[in-house]
Amino acid sequence: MATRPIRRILIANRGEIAVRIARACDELGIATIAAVSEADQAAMHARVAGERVVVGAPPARDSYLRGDRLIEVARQRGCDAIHPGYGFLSQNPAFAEAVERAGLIFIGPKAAAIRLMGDKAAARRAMVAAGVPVVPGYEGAGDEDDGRLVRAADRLGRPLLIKAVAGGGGRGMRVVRAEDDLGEALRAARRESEKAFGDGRLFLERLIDDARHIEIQVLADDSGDCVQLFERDCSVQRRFQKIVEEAPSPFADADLRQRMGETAVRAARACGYVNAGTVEFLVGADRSFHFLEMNTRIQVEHPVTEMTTGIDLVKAQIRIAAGERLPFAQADLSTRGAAIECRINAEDPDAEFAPSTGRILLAEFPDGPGVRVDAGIGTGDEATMHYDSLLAKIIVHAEDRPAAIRRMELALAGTAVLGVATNLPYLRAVLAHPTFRAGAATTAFVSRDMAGWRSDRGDPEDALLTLAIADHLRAARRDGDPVMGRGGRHDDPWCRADGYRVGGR
Amino acid sequence: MWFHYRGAGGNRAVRVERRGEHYVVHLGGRLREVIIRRAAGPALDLLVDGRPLRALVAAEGDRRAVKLGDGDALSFDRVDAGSDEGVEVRIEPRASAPGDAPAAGRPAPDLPEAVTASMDGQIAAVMVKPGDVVEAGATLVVLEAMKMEMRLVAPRRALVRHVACQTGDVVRRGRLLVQLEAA
Repeated sequence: MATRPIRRILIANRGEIAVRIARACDELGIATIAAVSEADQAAMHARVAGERVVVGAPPARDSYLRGDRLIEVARQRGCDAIHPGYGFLSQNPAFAEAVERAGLIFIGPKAAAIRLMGDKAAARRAMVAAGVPVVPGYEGAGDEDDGRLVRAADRLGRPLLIKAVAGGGGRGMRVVRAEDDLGEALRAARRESEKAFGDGRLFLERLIDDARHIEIQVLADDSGDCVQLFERDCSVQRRFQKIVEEAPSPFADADLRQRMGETAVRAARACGYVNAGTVEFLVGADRSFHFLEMNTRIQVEHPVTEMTTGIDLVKAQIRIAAGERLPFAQADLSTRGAAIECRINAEDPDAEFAPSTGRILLAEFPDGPGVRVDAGIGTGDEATMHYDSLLAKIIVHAEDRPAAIRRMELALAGTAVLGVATNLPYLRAVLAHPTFRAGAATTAFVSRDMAGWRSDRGDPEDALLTLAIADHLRAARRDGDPVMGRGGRHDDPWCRADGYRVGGR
Repeated sequence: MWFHYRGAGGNRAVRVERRGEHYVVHLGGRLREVIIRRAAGPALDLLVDGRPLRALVAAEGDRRAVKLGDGDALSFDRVDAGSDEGVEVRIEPRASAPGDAPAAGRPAPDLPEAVTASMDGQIAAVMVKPGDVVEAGATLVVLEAMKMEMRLVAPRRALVRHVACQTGDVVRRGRLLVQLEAA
């Protein structure tokens, strides 16, 4: 089979995933060019890439979503390929086509597969045709009017989920319970979907409230080989956003794992899938499972699969895009131990998780055996309003799930992000919750078990005392007074060893 | 030397005095003896009345943040206490805008109501104009940051007196966006 050598990659993304891609390229001996916005010129992904090119203004539509400009830069700089990461242009079939038309390699599936899976109604029909069970629902021809949807809703019963045909990321979605006005919910979902995707088409699914979100990672190459790398359990979600993910699923047994894995491979083959992808399922308490959607890109939570299978998924993506065959068969794959990922988001859990922006005054991450940190920021970097709130991911791997939970608790305790509010206290509460620890969390966990959670930061007196000592040390140093203590001369705590200096008074 | 900080619980004053190799800290009506075992960059390793206390600290301008040991981060602002030096005062959390807090003896609904930005962000949409009468729960302004939209709604039926923002504006948390008054 023909291989197409990849020597230089344009990274068309930002934050932790851009850093992750640059690392994979470094290991493969591939040069990297970061396409960055004006706001990200000094960001971590711009720093770690071999070269950086400013492609536009801070808003994503002027930079990270400027497909034409990204392709132009890739060509000018002699790149062979573009890695789109997740989000932004990663699931835009027109972009994938334009990249290939420009003679470059799009590191991801073919545009046809992206297009099929991006149309949630068409994807449902294709899955039904391939014998993959889908969540009971109604998509009709995919462009049904409110009248037909209302009649279908009457047949399906409540509760229901209205979803956008062009949807993703929880937008254009509405839960309709018995007491809710279906007509109003349809109008609101259509408006939101129009605005978010420029496409107001909707479909219906029965809401399976108390289910598990379990997804299967697949890898497929040009030759038609397709393997599955087992499951991830992403049931801990807040407003359809995953916050804690793990592998293996504490719910899946060998039989369910095998049936879901085989079904995922069938789903991938049905759309001629090539490269890395994820087939998402909702799994009921009776272990029945239904196709939700297929994500045609690398996912945020890919590291838990990497930790348990030992396969580097980003390197695999690049090799597949270069035309190489998968170097392993299904029988060669197995998992070892348990892995958990926690997403550190710049959100204030004391203010209804409102985004928190500003300079990261201090970022310290944990280390030690089995601890991995995929961070997109460091001390002195800026969390800006223009992009999503994911700052870093803490991933742990241990011999079994209890050991992984303990390792994660210590890792979170050893994580410090000062200067912006983060969801760290919330993540620690999730890890401490008996339902999570028992492996019994479903998609209802956050709204039901965590509903009463309030942060408790305790008595601030030790904090005030510490700050006053630090401010005193600074004042003494400014006055030229050598500050001595038992250990000898002390640093000014506001002065960073790495040369980053924060303002003080 | 006195230091004043404002946090979620109000204003607090702390006095630090150096006595040779150790420090005496006055806080909350109590004295504590503090020994600095190590201060290396942002990491402080203290003994407080013989009890070990490890912390990470950071500052920018008047902003202060601290994480104690394995605990969660806390944020404060360093404030100038002026003539209050040496007096521990607790104040109520800041009102979102002047005029927001009802004056003594006057019923709140008669007062103008300031709707302020609940987070740093960009104005995605302004749904009202001066002179509009809005019902309770009506969306006034849509604020967007980090791909999240936040709707600022009318707390009660009200007349829109003034709109202080337009679509596309970048605003800081706490900035006045819409001024309402009783309708």
